[in-house]
Amino acid sequence: MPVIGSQPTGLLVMNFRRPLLCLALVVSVLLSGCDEFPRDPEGTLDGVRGSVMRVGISEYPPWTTVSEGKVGGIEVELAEGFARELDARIEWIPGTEQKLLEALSTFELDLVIAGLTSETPWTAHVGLTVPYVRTASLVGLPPGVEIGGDLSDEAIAVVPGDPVADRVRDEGGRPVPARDLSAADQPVAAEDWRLAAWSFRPTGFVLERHRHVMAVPPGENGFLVRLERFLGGRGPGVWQALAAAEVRR
Amino acid sequence: MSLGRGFEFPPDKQALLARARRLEWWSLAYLITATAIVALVLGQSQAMKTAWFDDVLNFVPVVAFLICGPISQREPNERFPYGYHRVTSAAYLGAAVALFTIGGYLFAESAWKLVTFEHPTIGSVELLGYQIWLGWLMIPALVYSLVPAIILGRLKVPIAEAIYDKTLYTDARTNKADWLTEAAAILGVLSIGLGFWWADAMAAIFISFEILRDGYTHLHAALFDLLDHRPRRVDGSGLDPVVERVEAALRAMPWVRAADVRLRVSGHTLFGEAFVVPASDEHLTERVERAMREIRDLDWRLHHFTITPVEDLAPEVQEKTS
Repeated sequence: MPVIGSQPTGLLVMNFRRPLLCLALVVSVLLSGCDEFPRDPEGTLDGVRGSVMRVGISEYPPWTTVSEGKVGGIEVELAEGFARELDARIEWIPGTEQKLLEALSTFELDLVIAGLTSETPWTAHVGLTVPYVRTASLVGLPPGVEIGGDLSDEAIAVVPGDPVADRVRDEGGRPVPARDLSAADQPVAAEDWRLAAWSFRPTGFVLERHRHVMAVPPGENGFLVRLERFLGGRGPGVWQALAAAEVRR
Repeated sequence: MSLGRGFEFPPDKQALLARARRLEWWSLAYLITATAIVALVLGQSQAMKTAWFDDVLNFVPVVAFLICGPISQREPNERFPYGYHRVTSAAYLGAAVALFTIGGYLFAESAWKLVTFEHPTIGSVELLGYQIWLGWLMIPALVYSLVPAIILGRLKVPIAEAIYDKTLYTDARTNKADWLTEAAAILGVLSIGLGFWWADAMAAIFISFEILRDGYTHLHAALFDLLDHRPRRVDGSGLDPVVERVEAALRAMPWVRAADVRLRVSGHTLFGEAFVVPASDEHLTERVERAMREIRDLDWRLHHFTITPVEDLAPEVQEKTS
């Protein structure tokens, strides 16, 4: 039969005549007796609390370091603080980022720290926290060095292998590889906290923004929200700690 | 005489049309805000994504009505001797195809998420200094995209019926039926919060199935329109009695021995002809002209109506009318 507007079936009309009332009823039934919201489908938070937190770690100094079985770095300190809050002991599992995130996506791990940013291509397969610290790579000037109004044909020192080199090229600059930027006598492209540690003058040329995150198993929203609450507001402290660590180095 | 009426609506319907256009402008403005707000809180929920697509698809009938309405009222000319009535049928078909394909795509995607055990991740956001679960923001966003839609839908249905406008009717029905979609999405979000990862995909499957079903219904109706089926009521609830009324009026004329009427829908209007067996050939031209005028006055939708005098009706028609 050719119909223009389909009529709802009798059943739906009978049961859902008062949509908002009905919805309110269902919601209140669902939420009654919920002390923790949201909850984990696979029970990560309950499993970790008072027990063991399996943390995958992949080296990316100064965020994470692994040497001779000893772990360290900013994110290690954060993970240890979070474990203390949950009364949990950490089992460290070092590995490559890919292997660890794969294990995380199948719930073999509870947390992965690897200096990850929200740009990671793994977004669809694991859960990522809201960024807990934001940093930026920008052009910085050693004392006494000046540049003009734009970067065209300007030689910018870049650590070999840093993807920021491509952004320098985009801006018209010429990336020049240099091992130790802190000793440079020309403009450099580096993270803002490094520039602060070296007392280099930051310019307005922002090349890349980094939103740092940690990874949790997919859909474990209770654990995720708990971790996000722990990380919340720690951004400035983390930034200072990064700069302080760079000064010591 | 042969080109039919130059206008689409009689004066009393013009006022309704103006009101409908005002409502559709309101709907457009509101849809823009609703889709923007829902987009802000999408997260990784598949149910939210399908509900958002459903909102976006609501643009189609609104825009079709606002763009095609004025075009359909243009006067017939050399190039388009039947006028522009059918532009609404074309818009209707386009809207139906959009609903059908997007519904099908979302359905497949949601089903895939279910069979691959994909767990939707929804974290928290910082709002006014508080960390709040994003799910709590999704619910008011969905309610915002729901409540005004219901009200607008209720206002539009009677107008759509009065001006015999299927695009407007589709839009009004979609608005009214929207709450089912949004309620499913809200339940999906709450279920994620309760730890049922599969509820998200299930809600998404339900919503996309609703879109798919709407698309199928409208595709069906649009194709039947193109095939010139008999006029039906605007809500599709049955045959429009206009054919019988025209036949009865013709047969009631003393000079008419037998008559057969054929009508088809063209946008808001009806086109058609009658084959009439006259009792005698006396004053035939005059009588035919007067009858055409009288028939057109029966219903404002009868724009193009012609009468062809014949010796005899086709045998199958004689059978039907005897």
